[in-house]
Amino acid sequence: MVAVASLFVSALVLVLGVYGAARALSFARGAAASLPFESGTLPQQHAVSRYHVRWYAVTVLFLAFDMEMIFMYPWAVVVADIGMSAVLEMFAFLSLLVVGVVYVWREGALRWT
Amino acid sequence: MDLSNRLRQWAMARPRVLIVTTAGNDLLRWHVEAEVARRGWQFALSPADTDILLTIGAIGPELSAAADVLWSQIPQPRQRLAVTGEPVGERLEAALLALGTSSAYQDGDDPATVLSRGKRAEDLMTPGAHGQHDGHDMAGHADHGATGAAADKHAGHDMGGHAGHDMGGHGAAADEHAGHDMGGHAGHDMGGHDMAGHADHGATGAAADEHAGHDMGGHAGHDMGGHGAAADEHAGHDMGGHAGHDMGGHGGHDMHGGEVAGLPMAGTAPDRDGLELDELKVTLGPVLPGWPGGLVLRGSMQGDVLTRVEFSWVDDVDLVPADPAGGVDRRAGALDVLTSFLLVAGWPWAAQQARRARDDLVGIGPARVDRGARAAVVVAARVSRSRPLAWSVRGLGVRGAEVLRTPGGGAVGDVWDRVRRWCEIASGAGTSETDEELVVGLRDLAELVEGAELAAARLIVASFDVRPVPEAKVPASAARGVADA
Amino acid sequence: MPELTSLADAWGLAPAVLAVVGFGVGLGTVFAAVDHVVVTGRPARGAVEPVRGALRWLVQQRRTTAAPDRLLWRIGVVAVPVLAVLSLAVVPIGGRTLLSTSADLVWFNAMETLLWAAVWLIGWGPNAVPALVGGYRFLAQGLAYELPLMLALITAGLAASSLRTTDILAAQADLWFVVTMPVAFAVFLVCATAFAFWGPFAAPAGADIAGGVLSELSGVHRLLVEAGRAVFLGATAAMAVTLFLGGEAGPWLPGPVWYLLKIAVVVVALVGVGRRVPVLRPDRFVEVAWMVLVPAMLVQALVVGLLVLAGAYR
Repeated sequence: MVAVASLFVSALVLVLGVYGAARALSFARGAAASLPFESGTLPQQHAVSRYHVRWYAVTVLFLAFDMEMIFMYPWAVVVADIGMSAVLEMFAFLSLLVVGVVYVWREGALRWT
Repeated sequence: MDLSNRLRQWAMARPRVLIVTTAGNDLLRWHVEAEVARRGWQFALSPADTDILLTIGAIGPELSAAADVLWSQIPQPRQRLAVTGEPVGERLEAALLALGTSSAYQDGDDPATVLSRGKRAEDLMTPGAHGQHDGHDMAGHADHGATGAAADKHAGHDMGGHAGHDMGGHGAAADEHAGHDMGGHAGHDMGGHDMAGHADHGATGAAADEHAGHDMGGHAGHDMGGHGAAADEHAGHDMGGHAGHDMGGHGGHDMHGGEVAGLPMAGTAPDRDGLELDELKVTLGPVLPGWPGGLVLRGSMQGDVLTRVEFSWVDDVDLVPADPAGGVDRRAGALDVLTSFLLVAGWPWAAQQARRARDDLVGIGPARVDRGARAAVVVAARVSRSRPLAWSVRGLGVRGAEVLRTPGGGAVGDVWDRVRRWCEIASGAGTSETDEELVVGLRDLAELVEGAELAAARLIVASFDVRPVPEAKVPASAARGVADA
Repeated sequence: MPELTSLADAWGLAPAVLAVVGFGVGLGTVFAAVDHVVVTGRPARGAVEPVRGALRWLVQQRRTTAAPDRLLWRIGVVAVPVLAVLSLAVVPIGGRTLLSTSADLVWFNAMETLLWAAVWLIGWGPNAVPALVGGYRFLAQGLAYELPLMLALITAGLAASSLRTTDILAAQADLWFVVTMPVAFAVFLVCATAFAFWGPFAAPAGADIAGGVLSELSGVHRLLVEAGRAVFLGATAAMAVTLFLGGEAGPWLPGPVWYLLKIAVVVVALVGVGRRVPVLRPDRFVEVAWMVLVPAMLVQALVVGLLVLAGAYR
C-alpha cells in the first residue's frame, strides 16, 4: 500500500513538474481566457445542459452485466479448486444474462440512431 | 540567443495551422495546404491547438469577423497571416519566424469583449432581426469586428445595476457571486440607454475601448448583462447547479431566464419523440476542419441530434465565381472532397494520402502529375474497398423519396454510395458528365441533415460537393436555400 | 512461493517507484514515436517529433473558456496521466510488480474504469459544445468496450487461477496464453485502444467535432492528456505481453530484452493496424461489442474454464 501511495504521489509530482516546466518555458503569463470554440461564431448559450443520451437503455443492460463481473473475478480464482460445478453454475448464470442481451438487441436498444 | 529561446524556437518549428477560407479559393487553398504539408506542419482541428491562423483569398466581412473570433481563441504564441497569392512559401516562413518574436505574445481580448463586439456586429449585419432595439444607433461600432489585436480595456463591463433582478428560482445554484453575474434581465427593456456617446470610438479596432456599459439594450436574448462576470475567473464556477432550471421556452432566443457570463442557459423544446428536452443552439461553420469553407449550419441540438437546421453561406454568395475550380482536373476536385470526408470519417491517414495525391495532380511537371494520378488510383481503391468505412457510413443521408437497397446492404444515394462515386472520379474512371447526385442545394441538404446525429450530419455534408452555385444549376427546391443566405 | 516479493521489496521503495514512472514515460514516448512514424510515413524524425510536440505544448499558453467548470475540468486533465502511471503498478518490471496483491487485475481494471470519469469531465469542463459531445461519446463507447475488456482480463486470471500478475506470468512458463486464448488477446487490445480513445476508437476526440474532448485544451493541459493517453497505450502493450505473450519468456536472449522486444512488436502492430482503420462510430460499435465481442469472450472463457478443469495449465 505504501508503494502505491508513493507511486500516486510521484505521479502527482510528475504532473506538478510538467506544470512547472510549462511555467518556466512559456512567455505567456497565465491562461488565455477565450470563448468556447463554435466554428468561428459566438456561442449563443452555455453548452452545459441536460444532454439527452439516447443510449440510456444500454446503461441499464451494462449495469446488470457489470454486477455479474464482480462475481466473476473471485470465481476465476477458485475454478480449479471447486471443479466442474463452478463452471456449470457460472455459465448457467451467464447464459441467463445473455438471453437478456439478446432480448435487448431484438428490441433494438443497441441501435439508437 | 540563450538556450531556452532556442529551445522554444525548436519546439515551435512544426506549427499547426488553422485555415479560414471560402469556396472559390480552392486552387489557392490547395497550393497553401501543399506548402504547409511539405514543411511537415500540421492542420489544427480547433483554435486551442493552433499556432498560425491563415486566411486564404479574399474574404468578406462576416468571415473576417469569424476569423477575429478564432484569433481571440488561439493561445500564445500565435501568428496571423492572410495569403492572397504568391509567394506563399515565404509568407509561411515569415510567420514561423514571427512565432518566436514578441509579436506572438500580444494579449488579445477577453471573452466578454469578443462576445459584446461580435453581437454588436451581428446586429448590424442583420438589421431588423432583433426588432426591439430600433432607435439604437450602433453605427459607430461598425469596425469593431475588423481586428482581433485590439487591446480593449473595458473599465466596467459590470452591469451590477441589474443585480437586483434576483434569480430566486435558482435556489439550487448556490451562487456566491449572484451580485454580479446572475442578472436575469427577463424582458428588460434597455432601450433608454443612449449609445450615442460611443458612436465613434470603434472606428479603429485598435483603439482602447473604454465604455463602461456594454449593454446592448433590451433585445431578446442578447442581453449583455452578465459581462462583468465573464472576465471574472469565477464566472462559471457552478454552472452545473443551473443546469436543472427550466427556461420555459421554445427557441431560447427569446428566453432569458438568467445569464451567466453573458450567455443564457439552454432552453427546452420537444424532441423528435415529443419529449420536452434541453435544446442547445449550435452553429457549425463557417470555419471547421473538413467542412466546406464559409458554409454555416444553424440549428439546435438535443443530445447529439440536430434539429431546426438551416444552412447559409457567409457573406455575399455572388463573390464566388460560378465554377471556381474550372479547368482543373476533376480528379483533383474529387480528391479534395475525399480529403475532407476522410478527415471527418476519422481516417486521417487516408485523408493525408488523398491530399498528397491531390497536391501532386495539380503540381508542376508531368512526372509529379503522373505520380499524383497513380496515388489517386491507390487511395481511391483503398477507400472504396474499406469495409469498416462502409459499415460506418452506410445508410446515412439517403436521397430521394424511394429507398433502393444496394446488394451491400446500403442504399442507393447514401453517403457510402456517393463516396464510391468520388473514388471513381478520383481514379479517373468516372464518366465525364456532371454527377447530379454529388451536388446538393442548401435546402435539400438541410432536409437530409434534419434529425441526424452530429456525426452523421458531418458525414452527410462531407459526402457532397457543397458550394455556392448559381441558381440555374441548382434544382428548384434548393435554390431558395441559397437565397436565404 | 518465493517469487512473490514486490518490486519495492526487491529494489527498495524509491528506486522501484522511480522505475515504474520512468518505464511509463518511456512506454508513452515509444508509442508516440511509432504513432508519428506510421501517420507521417517519415521514419527519420519519428523519435524526435514526440519530444518536439511535448515541448511545443509546454511553450504554448494554457487556456480557459468562458464560464468553465474549472475544478472538474482540471481534475479530469490531471487524472488521465496519473491513472496511466498508477495502472503500471501491476505491470511487471524485471518480472516483479510494484503492487503485488491477490487482485492485481482488478487494480488495472479499476484504473482504466476511472477514465470514464476523467474523460467525461474533460468534455464537460470547458462548457463547449464539441467537448461536451465528445465526453458523452466516450461514455457510449465505454458501454461497448468495458465488458469485453473485463472478460479478457478475467480469462487470463482464470487460466492462472490467480489475479496476481506474477502468478499469471509463472503460469505461462510452458505455454503462452495467447495460444489457448487468441480471442481474449485480440479483444484486450481492441478494448484497450477504445479506452484510450485512440485510432479507430478516437470518436470522442474526433475530427468531426473539432477534436472533441481535446478541442478546448491547449498548452500543458493538452500535453498531460495526450501523454496520459500514450502512457496508457504503452502500458496496455506491456500488459498484453504480460498476460498473453509470456512476459520475459523466450530463448537465447535475456528476459528483459525479450520483454521489451515483445512490447515493441505489440506497439508496432497496434499502431500499424489502428491507423489504417477509420473511426468505428460508437453508436454502431455498441451493437457489435454486445452481439459479437461479449459472446465471443464468453465462449473463450468457457473454453479456458474447461481447459483449467482438464489440467491444461498446471
